Amino acid sequence: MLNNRYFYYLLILNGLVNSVNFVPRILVNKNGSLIAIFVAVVIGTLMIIFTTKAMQSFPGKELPEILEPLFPKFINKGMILFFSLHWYLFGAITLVSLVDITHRFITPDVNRLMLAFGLLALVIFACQVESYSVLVSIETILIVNIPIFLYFIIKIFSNEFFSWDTIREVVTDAADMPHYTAIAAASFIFTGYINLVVFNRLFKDLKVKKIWIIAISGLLLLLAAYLIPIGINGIEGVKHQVYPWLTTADSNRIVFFIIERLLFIYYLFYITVAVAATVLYWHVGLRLLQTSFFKKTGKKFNIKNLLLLLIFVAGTFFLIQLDQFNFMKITDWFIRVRLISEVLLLLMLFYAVRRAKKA
Amino acid sequence: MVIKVKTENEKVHEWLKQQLEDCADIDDRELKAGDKKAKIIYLKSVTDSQIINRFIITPFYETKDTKEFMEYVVSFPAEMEPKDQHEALSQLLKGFVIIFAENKYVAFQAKKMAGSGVTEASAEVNVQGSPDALTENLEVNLNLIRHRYQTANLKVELKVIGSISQSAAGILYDSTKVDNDVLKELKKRLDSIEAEVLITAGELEQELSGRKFHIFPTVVVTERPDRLVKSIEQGKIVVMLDKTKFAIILPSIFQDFFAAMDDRIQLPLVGWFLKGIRYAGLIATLSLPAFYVAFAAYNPEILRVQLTLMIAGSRVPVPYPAVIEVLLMLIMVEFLIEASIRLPKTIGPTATTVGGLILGTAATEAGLVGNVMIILVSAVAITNFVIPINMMNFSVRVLRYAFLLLASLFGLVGIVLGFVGIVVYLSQVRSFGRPYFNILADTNSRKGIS
Repeated sequence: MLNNRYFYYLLILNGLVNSVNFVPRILVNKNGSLIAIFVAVVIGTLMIIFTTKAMQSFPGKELPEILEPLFPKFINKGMILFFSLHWYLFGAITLVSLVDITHRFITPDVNRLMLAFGLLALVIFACQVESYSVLVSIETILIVNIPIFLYFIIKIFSNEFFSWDTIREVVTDAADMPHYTAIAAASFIFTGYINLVVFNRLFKDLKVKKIWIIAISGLLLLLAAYLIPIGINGIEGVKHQVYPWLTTADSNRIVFFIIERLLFIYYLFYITVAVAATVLYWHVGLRLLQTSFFKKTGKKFNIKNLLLLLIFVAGTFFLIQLDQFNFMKITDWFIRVRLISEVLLLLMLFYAVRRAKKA
Repeated sequence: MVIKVKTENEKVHEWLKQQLEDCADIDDRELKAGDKKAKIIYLKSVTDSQIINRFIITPFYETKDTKEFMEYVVSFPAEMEPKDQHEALSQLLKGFVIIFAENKYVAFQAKKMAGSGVTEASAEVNVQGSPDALTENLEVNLNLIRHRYQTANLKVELKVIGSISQSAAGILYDSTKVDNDVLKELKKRLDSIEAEVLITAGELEQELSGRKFHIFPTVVVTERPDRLVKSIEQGKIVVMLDKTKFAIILPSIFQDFFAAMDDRIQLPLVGWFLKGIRYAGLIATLSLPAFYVAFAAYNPEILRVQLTLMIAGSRVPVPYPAVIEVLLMLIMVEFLIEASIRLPKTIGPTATTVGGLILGTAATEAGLVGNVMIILVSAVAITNFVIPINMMNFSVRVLRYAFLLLASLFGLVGIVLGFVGIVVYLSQVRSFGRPYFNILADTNSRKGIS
């Protein structure tokens, strides 16, 4: 019943939030990233096509309901636990890096834990609302933010110090073998479709038309995410940056405006999009766990839900107290494992479709 | 109903008098002319003496006998025959005259209308639209609506709410366009209202919305018949309460609160511009004080240097942190607004002028607040009134302080978090089970999904 445009918001949100944080850092640090980007576009597009097709055979159903007839109960529950961990981890990683960025670049006066507490309070409230409301919030945030993002991109390309020569150098050196981590990172941009495991319930006849637009815009986004920091910071210089895009934004100045540093415009965009993404991913993770482990009609729902959220919060605080090096290691591992789990999920969906067709 | 035994008639008369003991405004008189005899009983405060004179007393003396008189009285559409004494009593209280004659008693309507005529809208003024506002009389209001919406599909259902106030509520909707789930839900909620006295539409709104702590109004309260008609045409439901000048519209969406009735009179481009101004006003009035605190206390480096220096310069003589400064001024402005609403019209301007002068010039000269702060606070006060619907106006006034708190705790991040929080909050609010907020105003896409 829900308008199909909400599906694209899932894709756009995921693309935007990933194209600026972890993905560029991994891409600029590996050789052969340009090839990896093209490979990732192919993989990502195929994943979108296959998963949406598979999901369409189960209109109005969630992942736990789809898996139910396939395997014995405990395997199902284990799988859901495994998959929902991905969603939780992604939300937590985004949140923690948001705390780090804010503390480092924007308000060093505010205590990190205090900041984390504020963000968590908002996210915990927001991730518990109805799925439809989550989609509406995402829509609002994207519609407000996309103009800011476009302004940001235009501003950077019009920077007189943007070095096209460096980019030419990158393109001519592209013949290296792509690294698996780079492919996994680049394909992360397309992962927004995966949220269908929960939102499929709301879409009655989802049809993804003009898939090539998604592929091309994903490619452009990846190229921008990879090349813009290089164009500003240089091939070697960018490797020293933990947040390549933030330093890129901070090296730009707006001359004729009330706000002087472009960083803040960028930060305004990034924080809202990142909070929305965290809300989305935690909502999906929470929903998956709720539907398979304790039903909303159950008596002890509130207590169990509260316990689950406490675990969410505790995990986040664990990540916050890690140092940057270990934290980055965790995110890199997450990005590598993620692609495999995605393929695994797709295979399971295929199996489910076959079983459903036979029956 | 004809009562066979003569004493029965007298019994009822006695009972009525007994019930209304100690009511100074009761009038009980006997009409007598030769053989003709009749008794009338009525409440002077709610009846119109002219009607009684013209339609009851004069005809009594002009007719040949009591029988003819009764026939004359019964012929009026205003005449009713109460089933029993209890009904007679309630009719008496409503403004009927009970006539006892010829072994029966009848009730004759002689209601005195203390309502005002159709006046110009005062709470929701516009420039070029229709000036009419609702009146305190439900029937006049229905008349205003029917004249503007002439179709048989416009249904009016009456319900009585409030065990003591016995307020009549009219539910108006277009039967071809109405959302039946919402209508059912509304009736359910109306039936479950347990209040004894219900006088204003605002109270009805609170009783209907169900949730105790919500910051945004979920139904529009309006006094404009044109807005009501427009809403009915969109498939919404209007609830009009007798004896109030305001009606409520449901289900409503967030954007309804930012539409003025003369938007459609303007050229489309101008209309868009005006709407844009209102949303800009909303954002400004919510966040300007918070931004001031964030810039002055946490992130002075965001703004360009000249502006930062100017703000810092204006704050040089101020002896306390920016939050206190903002809070002080905002509260003073709230006092000013509250005072100027309640003050009599003759004193109002004086108070605001004096207050404005003191707050504006003297406070800066004394070094209590910065210059920039004064400009900011007045901008906040003005932008607040850009929102056309009063209830939303007040909600925004309260929310501003939440933003101030967030900014003082987290700086710039707090404001962003506040906006994201509001977006999420708005999108989970429901108005009678229907989505309340959608930035593209597309709340239909979800009809049918629970």
